[in-house]
Amino acid sequence: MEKVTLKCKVAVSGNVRAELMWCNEPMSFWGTVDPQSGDIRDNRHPFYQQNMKGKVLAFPTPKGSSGTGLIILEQVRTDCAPAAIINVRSDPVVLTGPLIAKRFYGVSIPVVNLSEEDYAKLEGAKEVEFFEEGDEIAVYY
Amino acid sequence: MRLTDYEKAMLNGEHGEIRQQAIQALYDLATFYDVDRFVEIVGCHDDSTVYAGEAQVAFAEMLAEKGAKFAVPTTTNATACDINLWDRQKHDIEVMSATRRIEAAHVKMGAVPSWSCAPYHIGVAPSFGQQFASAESNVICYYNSIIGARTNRYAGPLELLCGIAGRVPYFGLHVPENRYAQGLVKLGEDIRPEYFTDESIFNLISYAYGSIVKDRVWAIDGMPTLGVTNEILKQFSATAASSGGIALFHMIGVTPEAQTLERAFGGKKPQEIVEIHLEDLANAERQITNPNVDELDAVVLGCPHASYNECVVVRDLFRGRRVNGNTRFWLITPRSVVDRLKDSGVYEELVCLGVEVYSDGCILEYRNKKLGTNTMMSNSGKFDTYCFSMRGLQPVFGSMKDCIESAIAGRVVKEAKPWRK
Repeated sequence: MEKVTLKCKVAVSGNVRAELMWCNEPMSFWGTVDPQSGDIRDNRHPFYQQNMKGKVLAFPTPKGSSGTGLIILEQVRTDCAPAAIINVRSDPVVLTGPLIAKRFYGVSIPVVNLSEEDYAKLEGAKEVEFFEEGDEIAVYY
Repeated sequence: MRLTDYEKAMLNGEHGEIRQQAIQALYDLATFYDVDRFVEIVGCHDDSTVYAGEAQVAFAEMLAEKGAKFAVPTTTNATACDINLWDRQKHDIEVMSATRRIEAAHVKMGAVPSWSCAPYHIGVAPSFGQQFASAESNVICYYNSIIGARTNRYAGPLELLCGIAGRVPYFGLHVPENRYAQGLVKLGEDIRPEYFTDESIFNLISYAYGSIVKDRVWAIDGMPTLGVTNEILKQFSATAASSGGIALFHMIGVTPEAQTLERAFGGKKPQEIVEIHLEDLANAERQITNPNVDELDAVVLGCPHASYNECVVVRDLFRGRRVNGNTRFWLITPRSVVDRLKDSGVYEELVCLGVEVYSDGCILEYRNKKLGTNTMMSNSGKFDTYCFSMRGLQPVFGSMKDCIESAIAGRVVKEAKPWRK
């Protein structure tokens, strides 16, 4: 696999390498994700019918309801949460679940932000690796 | 970050494990947003109360079990059902049971058991300029805009951590400079001052405002400055926070940070001006109303929860006439308002008119399938915005007067309006 390193801004840190699910549409978890399975149920979303369990989920910006924090926490409980999240711009709503998972349950779901330019480079990548220290991710094609 | 000794001690675990974890999570948030300090809050409004899954209940129970206490007065938002009358509302036993666990955990942490999405109606609200942490979109918008208190849009269960730590990262709407309006919505001349005698116009303007402004801080000019009640402003806040992501709006001459246009914009010029007209109000109404309904199964008021004054207005508008035998009429109000209604005899009068009075619950959790109600009407832009995605049902929008006349007739009765041509 070809490996590329990208600079990122870390919101929640952690060590993980997993398969990438990338899209270029904003995303809400509330009303979109089944918190018992990790399936994406919104038929208007490019991830429709895919499952996010253990995957690196990349979407440019969060949208919609503030219920997203509770959905991600429920996914942690039912073991179908994504392995990590990549955004161009995260908001406190999308960070709530991963921050609480890390600080209260010792579960790491790293969240990082990339520049728009670097975000576009992720398209077609197979896997992404995150690191507890530093401000880089490794992308594998 | 520049930390106080108290904050350092919290981070070091000197105030217990839970306070440490709470401030660590807030510290992570502050670091990510490049915020260099925390700011103390005077209170918190806790919205992790409408049952949405086991993790929510388990998280609150874990906090309570480990001895977490709110450091500041913390009010509780609406729950999924009336805590006492859940079976009359056709909620199932799982929802009731989860709600009771939520109730117990939040009370154990020291919450003020208000169980309402309109805590400002029962005298527990921050004052002008005070720092606060609120979840629940209508409360956020009301506190920021109508009162001039300062909160960001906190999402459940992050606000619990703010309440437990008693502070938040100093960013966003906590900072005065970020509260000035950037753009301006102006009313066109075809929206005449006399149209404002019907309060439903505020909802339609608000819906249009939210659609245009989205999540930015803007102002609106041209609104009447007399006779604008807290209840009207409540509807404006709730609807704007639903059609857009409005956390703070300025109504020139009405809201406290917008007594003048200059003040609202901090002495600068609006970067963008958008004029709205009757046609925009007609479009807004088309978004939140179902034009194909005639016979009505239910009329629901109380999104956000009704104030004591609104309950009295409901009684007065009936003028002794009763709810139609084929229609149900639900009125949701905070439980302390129910107590006042009972003390004053208004509760009894409402019951005699055929009105079902409930408290605690969120009307958007209405079990329309089990209740067999397929057609509904309300005076709430927020209820009508979310009802389809949450309940699979498109309600009819109307003024409170329209709602009551319709409930009496058992079918939709609406007054002619200039935007309904």
